[in-house]
Amino acid sequence: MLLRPVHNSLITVEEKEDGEIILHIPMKEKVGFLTKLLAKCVQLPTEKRVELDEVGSFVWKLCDGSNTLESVVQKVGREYKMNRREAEVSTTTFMEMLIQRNFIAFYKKTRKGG
Amino acid sequence: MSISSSLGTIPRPRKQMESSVTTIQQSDTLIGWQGIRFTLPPDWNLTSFSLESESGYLRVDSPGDSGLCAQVRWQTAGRNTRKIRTMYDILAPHARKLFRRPEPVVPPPDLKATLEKILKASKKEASKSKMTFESVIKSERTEGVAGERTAASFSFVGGGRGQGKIWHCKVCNRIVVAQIVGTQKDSRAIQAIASQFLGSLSCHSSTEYDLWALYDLNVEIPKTFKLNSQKVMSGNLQLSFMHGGEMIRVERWGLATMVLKKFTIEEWLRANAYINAGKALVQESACNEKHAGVESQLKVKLFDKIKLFKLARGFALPMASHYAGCMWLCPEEQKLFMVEVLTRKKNPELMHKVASSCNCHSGSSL
Repeated sequence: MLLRPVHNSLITVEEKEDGEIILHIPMKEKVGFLTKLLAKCVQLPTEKRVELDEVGSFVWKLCDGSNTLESVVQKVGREYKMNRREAEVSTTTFMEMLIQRNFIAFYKKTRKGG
Repeated sequence: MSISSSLGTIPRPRKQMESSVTTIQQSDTLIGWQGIRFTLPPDWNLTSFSLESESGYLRVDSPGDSGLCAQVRWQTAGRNTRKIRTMYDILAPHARKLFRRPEPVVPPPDLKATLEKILKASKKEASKSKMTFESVIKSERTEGVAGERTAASFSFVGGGRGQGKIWHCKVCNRIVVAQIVGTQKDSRAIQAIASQFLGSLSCHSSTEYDLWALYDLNVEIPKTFKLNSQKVMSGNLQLSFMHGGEMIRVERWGLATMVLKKFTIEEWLRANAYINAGKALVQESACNEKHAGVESQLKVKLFDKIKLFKLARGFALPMASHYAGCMWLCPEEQKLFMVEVLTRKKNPELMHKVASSCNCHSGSSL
Protein backbone atom coordinates (compact mmCIF):
# COMPACT_ATOMS: atom_id res chain seq x y z
CA MET A 1 0.00 0.00 0.00
CA LEU A 2 3.08 2.25 0.12
CA LEU A 3 3.67 1.99 -3.62
CA ARG A 4 3.01 5.10 -5.68
CA PRO A 5 1.16 4.82 -8.97
CA VAL A 6 2.43 7.00 -11.78
CA HIS A 7 1.17 7.56 -15.35
CA ASN A 8 2.91 6.24 -18.41
CA SER A 9 4.50 9.38 -19.85
CA LEU A 10 3.73 8.32 -23.45
CA ILE A 11 -0.01 8.65 -22.80
CA THR A 12 -1.61 12.02 -23.47
CA VAL A 13 -4.69 13.09 -21.58
CA GLU A 14 -7.70 15.07 -22.74
CA GLU A 15 -10.15 16.37 -20.15
CA LYS A 16 -13.80 16.79 -21.07
CA GLU A 17 -15.99 19.62 -19.76
CA ASP A 18 -17.54 17.40 -17.11
CA GLY A 19 -14.11 16.47 -15.75
CA GLU A 20 -14.03 12.99 -17.31
CA ILE A 21 -10.81 11.97 -18.98
CA ILE A 22 -9.96 10.53 -22.40
CA LEU A 23 -6.61 8.77 -22.66
CA HIS A 24 -4.76 8.82 -25.99
CA ILE A 25 -2.47 5.82 -26.19
CA PRO A 26 0.06 5.77 -29.03
CA MET A 27 0.05 2.58 -31.11
CA LYS A 28 3.24 0.61 -31.64
CA GLU A 29 5.09 1.32 -34.88
CA LYS A 30 4.22 -1.18 -37.59
CA VAL A 31 6.85 -3.77 -38.27
CA GLY A 32 7.14 -6.01 -41.31
CA PHE A 33 7.02 -5.15 -44.98
CA LEU A 34 3.39 -6.11 -45.60
CA THR A 35 2.07 -4.11 -42.64
CA LYS A 36 4.05 -1.06 -43.68
CA LEU A 37 2.73 -1.40 -47.23
CA LEU A 38 -0.81 -1.77 -45.96
CA ALA A 39 -0.35 1.26 -43.71
CA LYS A 40 0.56 3.33 -46.78
CA CYS A 41 -2.56 2.20 -48.67
CA VAL A 42 -5.04 2.37 -45.79
CA GLN A 43 -4.84 4.99 -43.09
CA LEU A 44 -4.31 3.03 -39.89
CA PRO A 45 -4.99 4.72 -36.56
CA THR A 46 -1.91 5.96 -34.75
CA GLU A 47 -3.46 5.95 -31.30
CA LYS A 48 -6.09 4.28 -29.16
CA ARG A 49 -8.67 6.26 -27.20
CA VAL A 50 -9.86 5.11 -23.80
CA GLU A 51 -12.63 7.02 -22.08
CA LEU A 52 -12.68 6.86 -18.28
CA ASP A 53 -15.81 7.39 -16.23
CA GLU A 54 -16.08 9.79 -13.30
CA VAL A 55 -14.46 7.52 -10.72
CA GLY A 56 -11.83 6.30 -13.17
CA SER A 57 -10.92 9.89 -14.01
CA PHE A 58 -10.69 10.74 -10.31
CA VAL A 59 -8.31 7.82 -9.71
CA TRP A 60 -6.28 8.66 -12.85
CA LYS A 61 -5.71 12.22 -11.61
CA LEU A 62 -4.39 10.82 -8.32
CA CYS A 63 -1.89 8.58 -10.11
CA ASP A 64 0.69 11.35 -10.45
CA GLY A 65 3.40 9.80 -8.34
CA SER A 66 2.70 11.95 -5.30
CA ASN A 67 0.06 9.67 -3.75
CA THR A 68 0.59 6.22 -2.32
CA LEU A 69 -1.92 3.48 -3.10
CA GLU A 70 -3.13 3.80 0.48
CA SER A 71 -3.87 7.51 0.09
CA VAL A 72 -5.62 6.91 -3.27
CA VAL A 73 -7.89 4.36 -1.55
CA GLN A 74 -8.62 6.81 1.26
CA LYS A 75 -9.40 9.66 -1.14
CA VAL A 76 -11.70 7.50 -3.28
CA GLY A 77 -13.52 6.30 -0.17
CA ARG A 78 -13.95 9.85 1.11
CA GLU A 79 -15.04 11.32 -2.24
CA TYR A 80 -17.57 8.63 -3.14
CA LYS A 81 -18.67 7.71 0.41
CA MET A 82 -17.46 4.14 0.06
CA ASN A 83 -16.43 2.17 3.08
CA ARG A 84 -12.80 1.17 3.40
CA ARG A 85 -13.16 -2.33 1.95
CA GLU A 86 -15.27 -1.25 -1.03
CA ALA A 87 -12.84 1.56 -1.88
CA GLU A 88 -9.87 -0.80 -1.53
CA VAL A 89 -11.38 -3.50 -3.75
CA SER A 90 -12.62 -1.19 -6.50
CA THR A 91 -9.44 0.93 -6.60
CA THR A 92 -7.02 -1.98 -6.65
CA THR A 93 -9.08 -3.81 -9.30
CA PHE A 94 -9.08 -0.71 -11.49
CA MET A 95 -5.34 -0.22 -11.00
CA GLU A 96 -4.62 -3.85 -11.86
CA MET A 97 -6.43 -3.22 -15.13
CA LEU A 98 -4.35 -0.09 -15.81
CA ILE A 99 -1.13 -1.95 -15.03
CA GLN A 100 -1.99 -4.85 -17.35
CA ARG A 101 -2.40 -2.34 -20.17
CA ASN A 102 0.82 -0.49 -19.21
CA PHE A 103 -1.09 2.74 -18.55
CA ILE A 104 0.49 3.17 -15.12
CA ALA A 105 3.42 1.80 -13.16
CA PHE A 106 4.21 1.63 -9.47
CA TYR A 107 7.34 2.88 -7.80
CA LYS A 108 8.53 2.85 -4.23
CA LYS A 109 10.11 5.91 -2.70
CA THR A 110 13.31 4.87 -0.99
CA ARG A 111 15.30 6.84 1.56
CA LYS A 112 18.52 8.46 0.44
CA GLY A 113 21.27 5.87 0.64
CA GLY A 114 18.71 3.15 1.32
CA MET B 1 -27.04 -24.03 1.41
CA SER B 2 -30.09 -24.90 3.42
CA ILE B 3 -33.37 -23.07 3.18
CA SER B 4 -35.84 -23.44 6.00
CA SER B 5 -39.24 -21.85 6.09
CA SER B 6 -41.88 -21.17 8.68
CA LEU B 7 -45.23 -19.44 8.71
CA GLY B 8 -46.53 -15.99 9.42
CA THR B 9 -45.06 -12.53 9.52
CA ILE B 10 -45.33 -10.92 12.92
CA PRO B 11 -45.79 -7.17 13.14
CA ARG B 12 -43.32 -5.47 15.40
CA PRO B 13 -43.89 -2.52 17.71
CA ARG B 14 -42.02 0.56 16.42
CA LYS B 15 -40.38 1.28 19.81
CA GLN B 16 -38.38 -1.94 19.70
CA MET B 17 -37.19 -1.17 16.20
CA GLU B 18 -35.92 2.30 17.13
CA SER B 19 -34.15 1.16 20.25
CA SER B 20 -32.21 -1.59 18.52
CA VAL B 21 -30.97 0.78 15.85
CA THR B 22 -29.75 3.48 18.20
CA THR B 23 -27.80 1.34 20.66
CA ILE B 24 -24.54 1.46 18.67
CA GLN B 25 -22.08 4.23 18.14
CA GLN B 26 -22.16 5.19 14.48
CA SER B 27 -18.39 5.08 14.08
CA ASP B 28 -18.17 1.44 15.15
CA THR B 29 -18.64 -1.40 12.70
CA LEU B 30 -21.90 -3.19 13.34
CA ILE B 31 -22.22 -6.74 12.04
CA GLY B 32 -25.51 -8.63 12.03
CA TRP B 33 -25.83 -12.05 10.44
CA GLN B 34 -28.18 -14.99 11.13
CA GLY B 35 -29.16 -13.58 14.54
CA ILE B 36 -25.50 -13.07 15.55
CA ARG B 37 -24.79 -9.43 16.28
CA PHE B 38 -21.68 -7.56 17.46
CA THR B 39 -19.68 -4.37 17.12
CA LEU B 40 -16.03 -3.87 16.27
CA PRO B 41 -13.83 -0.79 15.84
CA PRO B 42 -14.43 1.38 12.73
CA ASP B 43 -13.50 0.11 9.26
CA TRP B 44 -13.47 -3.60 10.11
CA ASN B 45 -15.10 -5.54 7.28
CA LEU B 46 -16.88 -8.81 6.85
CA THR B 47 -14.68 -11.03 4.67
CA SER B 48 -16.14 -14.50 5.07
CA PHE B 49 -19.60 -15.81 5.92
CA SER B 50 -21.82 -18.83 5.52
CA LEU B 51 -25.47 -18.80 4.52
CA GLU B 52 -26.86 -21.43 6.90
CA SER B 53 -28.55 -20.48 10.15
CA GLU B 54 -28.19 -23.91 11.87
CA SER B 55 -24.42 -23.76 11.81
CA GLY B 56 -22.10 -21.22 10.31
CA TYR B 57 -19.02 -19.08 10.34
CA LEU B 58 -18.24 -15.37 10.20
CA ARG B 59 -14.91 -13.68 9.80
CA VAL B 60 -14.34 -9.95 10.07
CA ASP B 61 -10.92 -8.51 9.23
CA SER B 62 -9.26 -5.37 10.53
CA PRO B 63 -8.37 -2.65 8.02
CA GLY B 64 -4.91 -2.54 6.42
CA ASP B 65 -2.25 -5.16 6.97
CA SER B 66 -2.51 -5.55 10.75
CA GLY B 67 -3.65 -9.18 10.49
CA LEU B 68 -6.18 -8.98 13.31
CA CYS B 69 -9.47 -10.72 12.75
CA ALA B 70 -12.65 -11.61 14.59
CA GLN B 71 -14.11 -15.06 14.08
CA VAL B 72 -17.50 -16.39 15.14
CA ARG B 73 -18.60 -19.98 14.73
CA TRP B 74 -22.01 -21.22 15.77
CA GLN B 75 -23.96 -24.45 15.77
CA THR B 76 -27.39 -25.46 16.97
CA ALA B 77 -26.90 -27.77 19.94
CA GLY B 78 -28.68 -30.99 20.84
CA ARG B 79 -31.41 -31.23 18.24
CA ASN B 80 -31.12 -33.34 15.09
CA THR B 81 -28.11 -35.19 16.42
CA ARG B 82 -29.93 -38.55 16.43
CA LYS B 83 -30.35 -39.85 12.92
CA ILE B 84 -33.59 -41.58 11.96
CA ARG B 85 -32.77 -45.28 12.14
CA THR B 86 -35.79 -47.05 13.56
CA MET B 87 -39.59 -46.84 13.42
CA TYR B 88 -39.47 -45.36 16.95
CA ASP B 89 -37.45 -42.37 15.67
CA ILE B 90 -40.16 -41.68 13.08
CA LEU B 91 -43.21 -42.21 15.25
CA ALA B 92 -42.04 -40.77 18.60
CA PRO B 93 -42.26 -37.07 17.68
CA HIS B 94 -45.80 -37.55 16.29
CA ALA B 95 -46.92 -39.51 19.36
CA ARG B 96 -45.49 -36.82 21.63
CA LYS B 97 -47.38 -34.17 19.71
CA LEU B 98 -50.62 -36.23 19.77
CA PHE B 99 -50.51 -36.96 23.51
CA ARG B 100 -49.07 -33.51 24.31
CA ARG B 101 -46.02 -34.96 25.98
CA PRO B 102 -42.98 -32.72 26.41
CA GLU B 103 -39.90 -33.15 24.27
CA PRO B 104 -37.22 -35.31 25.94
CA VAL B 105 -34.75 -33.25 27.91
CA VAL B 106 -31.55 -32.72 25.95
CA PRO B 107 -28.49 -32.65 28.21
CA PRO B 108 -26.55 -29.37 28.06
CA PRO B 109 -23.63 -29.57 25.63
CA ASP B 110 -20.15 -30.18 26.98
CA LEU B 111 -18.53 -26.83 26.28
CA LYS B 112 -15.15 -27.82 27.62
CA ALA B 113 -14.94 -30.84 25.33
CA THR B 114 -16.01 -28.76 22.32
CA LEU B 115 -13.44 -26.10 23.11
CA GLU B 116 -10.66 -28.63 23.70
CA LYS B 117 -11.39 -30.11 20.29
CA ILE B 118 -11.01 -26.67 18.68
CA LEU B 119 -7.81 -25.88 20.57
CA LYS B 120 -6.39 -29.30 19.74
CA ALA B 121 -6.82 -28.49 16.04
CA SER B 122 -5.01 -25.17 16.58
CA LYS B 123 -2.24 -26.97 18.47
CA LYS B 124 -1.81 -29.38 15.58
CA GLU B 125 -1.48 -26.43 13.17
CA ALA B 126 1.09 -24.78 15.44
CA SER B 127 3.12 -27.98 15.78
CA LYS B 128 3.30 -28.26 11.98
CA SER B 129 5.19 -24.98 11.91
CA LYS B 130 7.28 -26.15 14.92
CA MET B 131 5.86 -23.61 17.35
CA THR B 132 4.86 -24.13 20.94
CA PHE B 133 1.19 -23.86 21.75
CA GLU B 134 -0.27 -22.95 25.11
CA SER B 135 -3.90 -22.42 25.97
CA VAL B 136 -5.83 -21.43 29.08
CA ILE B 137 -9.51 -22.26 29.62
CA LYS B 138 -11.26 -20.47 32.44
CA SER B 139 -14.01 -22.17 34.44
CA GLU B 140 -17.60 -22.10 33.22
CA ARG B 141 -20.00 -19.47 34.55
CA THR B 142 -23.55 -18.35 33.98
CA GLU B 143 -24.16 -14.99 32.33
CA GLY B 144 -26.72 -13.03 30.30
CA VAL B 145 -29.86 -11.10 31.19
CA ALA B 146 -31.69 -14.06 32.74
CA GLY B 147 -28.70 -16.34 33.11
CA GLU B 148 -29.38 -17.85 29.70
CA ARG B 149 -25.73 -18.41 28.84
CA THR B 150 -23.24 -20.95 30.17
CA ALA B 151 -19.90 -19.54 29.10
CA ALA B 152 -16.18 -20.13 29.36
CA SER B 153 -13.41 -17.77 28.31
CA PHE B 154 -10.18 -18.94 26.75
CA SER B 155 -6.92 -17.64 25.37
CA PHE B 156 -4.05 -19.18 23.45
CA VAL B 157 -0.51 -18.39 22.31
CA GLY B 158 1.32 -20.28 19.59
CA GLY B 159 1.53 -19.55 15.89
CA GLY B 160 -0.53 -16.51 16.75
CA ARG B 161 -2.37 -15.16 19.72
CA GLY B 162 -6.07 -15.29 20.46
CA GLN B 163 -8.67 -14.51 23.07
CA GLY B 164 -12.23 -15.66 22.99
CA LYS B 165 -15.27 -17.17 24.57
CA ILE B 166 -17.47 -20.20 24.08
CA TRP B 167 -21.04 -20.36 25.31
CA HIS B 168 -24.31 -22.20 25.04
CA CYS B 169 -27.47 -20.12 24.99
CA LYS B 170 -30.65 -21.64 26.40
CA VAL B 171 -32.88 -19.25 24.43
CA CYS B 172 -31.62 -19.95 20.90
CA ASN B 173 -29.98 -23.31 21.73
CA ARG B 174 -26.79 -22.33 19.94
CA ILE B 175 -23.19 -23.05 20.85
CA VAL B 176 -21.17 -20.00 19.87
CA VAL B 177 -17.39 -19.75 19.74
CA ALA B 178 -16.06 -16.24 19.25
CA GLN B 179 -12.46 -15.12 19.20
CA ILE B 180 -10.10 -12.34 18.24
CA VAL B 181 -6.97 -13.65 16.59
CA GLY B 182 -3.77 -11.78 15.80
CA THR B 183 -0.02 -12.14 15.78
CA GLN B 184 2.19 -12.62 18.85
CA LYS B 185 2.93 -8.90 19.17
CA ASP B 186 -0.76 -7.87 19.06
CA SER B 187 -1.53 -8.85 22.66
CA ARG B 188 -2.67 -5.38 23.80
CA ALA B 189 -4.77 -4.77 20.70
CA ILE B 190 -6.33 -8.23 21.04
CA GLN B 191 -7.26 -7.56 24.67
CA ALA B 192 -8.81 -4.17 23.89
CA ILE B 193 -10.78 -5.37 20.87
CA ALA B 194 -11.84 -8.63 22.54
CA SER B 195 -13.46 -6.76 25.41
CA GLN B 196 -15.55 -4.67 22.97
CA PHE B 197 -16.28 -7.57 20.65
CA LEU B 198 -17.18 -10.18 23.26
CA GLY B 199 -19.10 -7.63 25.33
CA SER B 200 -21.29 -6.62 22.41
CA LEU B 201 -21.80 -10.10 20.96
CA SER B 202 -25.30 -11.56 21.12
CA CYS B 203 -26.49 -14.78 19.54
CA HIS B 204 -30.19 -14.01 19.18
CA SER B 205 -32.50 -11.06 18.87
CA SER B 206 -34.97 -10.31 21.67
CA THR B 207 -37.55 -9.01 19.15
CA GLU B 208 -39.34 -10.72 16.27
CA TYR B 209 -36.80 -9.25 13.88
CA ASP B 210 -33.19 -10.19 13.14
CA LEU B 211 -30.61 -7.56 12.37
CA TRP B 212 -28.72 -7.99 9.11
CA ALA B 213 -25.79 -5.61 8.98
CA LEU B 214 -22.81 -5.73 6.66
CA TYR B 215 -20.84 -2.90 5.13
CA ASP B 216 -23.32 0.00 4.99
CA LEU B 217 -26.44 -2.12 4.76
CA ASN B 218 -28.19 -2.28 8.09
CA VAL B 219 -31.72 -3.66 8.08
CA GLU B 220 -34.09 -5.69 10.24
CA ILE B 221 -35.96 -8.65 8.72
CA PRO B 222 -38.68 -10.77 10.37
CA LYS B 223 -37.17 -13.92 11.89
CA THR B 224 -39.53 -16.09 9.90
CA PHE B 225 -37.79 -15.09 6.67
CA LYS B 226 -34.61 -17.04 6.04
CA LEU B 227 -31.67 -15.89 3.93
CA ASN B 228 -32.02 -17.36 0.46
CA SER B 229 -29.32 -15.67 -1.55
CA GLN B 230 -26.80 -12.86 -1.30
CA LYS B 231 -24.71 -10.73 -3.60
CA VAL B 232 -21.81 -8.92 -1.96
CA MET B 233 -20.00 -6.85 -4.53
CA SER B 234 -18.12 -3.60 -4.38
CA GLY B 235 -20.87 -1.06 -5.01
CA ASN B 236 -23.78 -3.48 -4.90
CA LEU B 237 -25.14 -5.48 -1.97
CA GLN B 238 -28.21 -7.65 -2.19
CA LEU B 239 -29.84 -9.88 0.41
CA SER B 240 -32.82 -12.00 -0.48
CA PHE B 241 -35.00 -13.73 2.13
CA MET B 242 -37.69 -16.36 1.60
CA HIS B 243 -40.52 -17.59 3.75
CA GLY B 244 -42.62 -20.16 2.00
CA GLY B 245 -43.65 -18.55 -1.26
CA GLU B 246 -43.05 -15.05 0.08
CA MET B 247 -39.96 -12.96 -0.37
CA ILE B 248 -38.17 -9.89 0.97
CA ARG B 249 -35.30 -8.45 -1.05
CA VAL B 250 -33.06 -5.63 0.13
CA GLU B 251 -30.55 -4.02 -2.18
CA ARG B 252 -28.05 -1.19 -1.91
CA TRP B 253 -26.06 0.56 -4.64
CA GLY B 254 -23.08 2.80 -4.08
CA LEU B 255 -22.08 5.74 -6.31
CA ALA B 256 -25.69 6.88 -6.48
CA THR B 257 -24.83 10.24 -8.00
CA MET B 258 -23.31 8.48 -10.99
CA VAL B 259 -26.35 6.23 -11.41
CA LEU B 260 -28.71 9.19 -11.17
CA LYS B 261 -26.84 11.08 -13.87
CA LYS B 262 -28.07 8.50 -16.37
CA PHE B 263 -31.37 7.34 -14.86
CA THR B 264 -34.14 8.75 -12.76
CA ILE B 265 -34.90 6.96 -9.51
CA GLU B 266 -38.20 5.68 -11.05
CA GLU B 267 -36.33 4.21 -14.02
CA TRP B 268 -33.80 2.57 -11.72
CA LEU B 269 -36.61 1.01 -9.65
CA ARG B 270 -38.33 -0.32 -12.78
CA ALA B 271 -35.07 -1.67 -14.18
CA ASN B 272 -34.05 -3.45 -10.99
CA ALA B 273 -37.39 -4.63 -9.61
CA TYR B 274 -37.58 -8.38 -8.99
CA ILE B 275 -40.66 -8.63 -11.15
CA ASN B 276 -41.18 -7.14 -14.57
CA ALA B 277 -42.36 -3.62 -13.73
CA GLY B 278 -42.31 -2.38 -17.33
CA LYS B 279 -44.85 0.45 -17.29
CA ALA B 280 -46.00 0.12 -13.69
CA LEU B 281 -47.17 3.17 -11.80
CA VAL B 282 -44.35 4.50 -9.64
CA GLN B 283 -45.34 7.17 -7.16
CA GLU B 284 -43.52 9.33 -4.67
CA SER B 285 -43.64 8.16 -1.08
CA ALA B 286 -41.95 8.58 2.28
CA CYS B 287 -40.05 5.30 2.27
CA ASN B 288 -38.72 5.65 5.80
CA GLU B 289 -38.42 8.31 8.50
CA LYS B 290 -35.26 9.76 7.00
CA HIS B 291 -35.86 9.90 3.26
CA ALA B 292 -38.53 10.32 0.63
CA GLY B 293 -38.37 8.11 -2.42
CA VAL B 294 -40.61 6.23 -4.81
CA GLU B 295 -42.70 3.13 -4.48
CA SER B 296 -44.71 0.81 -6.65
CA GLN B 297 -47.34 -1.81 -5.93
CA LEU B 298 -48.28 -4.46 -8.47
CA LYS B 299 -49.88 -7.82 -8.95
CA VAL B 300 -47.37 -10.57 -9.63
CA LYS B 301 -47.79 -12.00 -13.13
CA LEU B 302 -47.58 -15.68 -14.00
CA PHE B 303 -44.03 -15.49 -15.40
CA ASP B 304 -42.74 -13.91 -12.18
CA LYS B 305 -44.64 -16.48 -10.11
CA ILE B 306 -42.79 -19.24 -11.96
CA LYS B 307 -39.50 -17.50 -11.17
CA LEU B 308 -40.46 -17.33 -7.50
CA PHE B 309 -41.67 -20.95 -7.53
CA LYS B 310 -38.22 -22.06 -8.74
CA LEU B 311 -36.56 -20.13 -5.90
CA ALA B 312 -38.85 -21.64 -3.28
CA ARG B 313 -38.03 -25.07 -4.77
CA GLY B 314 -41.71 -25.80 -5.25
CA PHE B 315 -42.44 -26.36 -1.54
CA ALA B 316 -44.44 -23.24 -0.98
CA LEU B 317 -47.79 -23.07 -2.71
CA PRO B 318 -49.61 -20.75 -3.11
CA MET B 319 -46.97 -18.36 -4.35
CA ALA B 320 -46.86 -14.64 -3.59
CA SER B 321 -49.26 -12.65 -5.73
CA HIS B 322 -48.63 -9.07 -4.56
CA TYR B 323 -45.54 -6.99 -5.08
CA ALA B 324 -44.55 -3.83 -3.22
CA GLY B 325 -41.21 -2.16 -3.74
CA CYS B 326 -39.69 1.14 -2.74
CA MET B 327 -36.45 2.91 -3.49
CA TRP B 328 -34.82 5.96 -1.98
CA LEU B 329 -31.64 7.95 -2.27
CA CYS B 330 -29.57 8.61 0.81
CA PRO B 331 -27.71 11.78 -0.21
CA GLU B 332 -25.57 11.74 2.94
CA GLU B 333 -24.03 8.42 1.95
CA GLN B 334 -24.53 8.72 -1.84
CA LYS B 335 -26.32 5.39 -1.88
CA LEU B 336 -29.54 4.02 -3.34
CA PHE B 337 -31.60 1.60 -1.29
CA MET B 338 -34.39 -0.68 -2.45
CA VAL B 339 -36.76 -2.84 -0.40
CA GLU B 340 -39.11 -5.26 -2.15
CA VAL B 341 -41.67 -7.60 -0.68
CA LEU B 342 -43.63 -10.28 -2.50
CA THR B 343 -46.51 -11.52 -0.40
CA ARG B 344 -49.60 -13.68 -0.75
CA LYS B 345 -51.88 -10.95 0.57
CA LYS B 346 -51.48 -7.27 -0.16
CA ASN B 347 -49.04 -6.18 2.56
CA PRO B 348 -47.24 -2.88 1.83
CA GLU B 349 -46.92 -2.37 5.61
CA LEU B 350 -44.25 -5.06 5.69
CA MET B 351 -42.27 -3.17 3.06
CA HIS B 352 -42.59 0.07 5.04
CA LYS B 353 -41.51 -1.67 8.26
CA VAL B 354 -38.41 -3.14 6.64
CA ALA B 355 -37.64 0.19 4.91
CA SER B 356 -38.06 2.06 8.23
CA SER B 357 -35.64 -0.29 9.95
CA CYS B 358 -33.03 0.36 7.27
CA ASN B 359 -30.46 2.59 8.94
CA CYS B 360 -28.83 4.12 5.88
CA HIS B 361 -27.05 6.92 7.74
CA SER B 362 -26.97 8.55 11.15
CA GLY B 363 -29.17 11.57 11.88
CA SER B 364 -32.36 12.71 10.17
CA SER B 365 -32.89 14.64 6.98
CA LEU B 366 -36.63 14.57 6.29
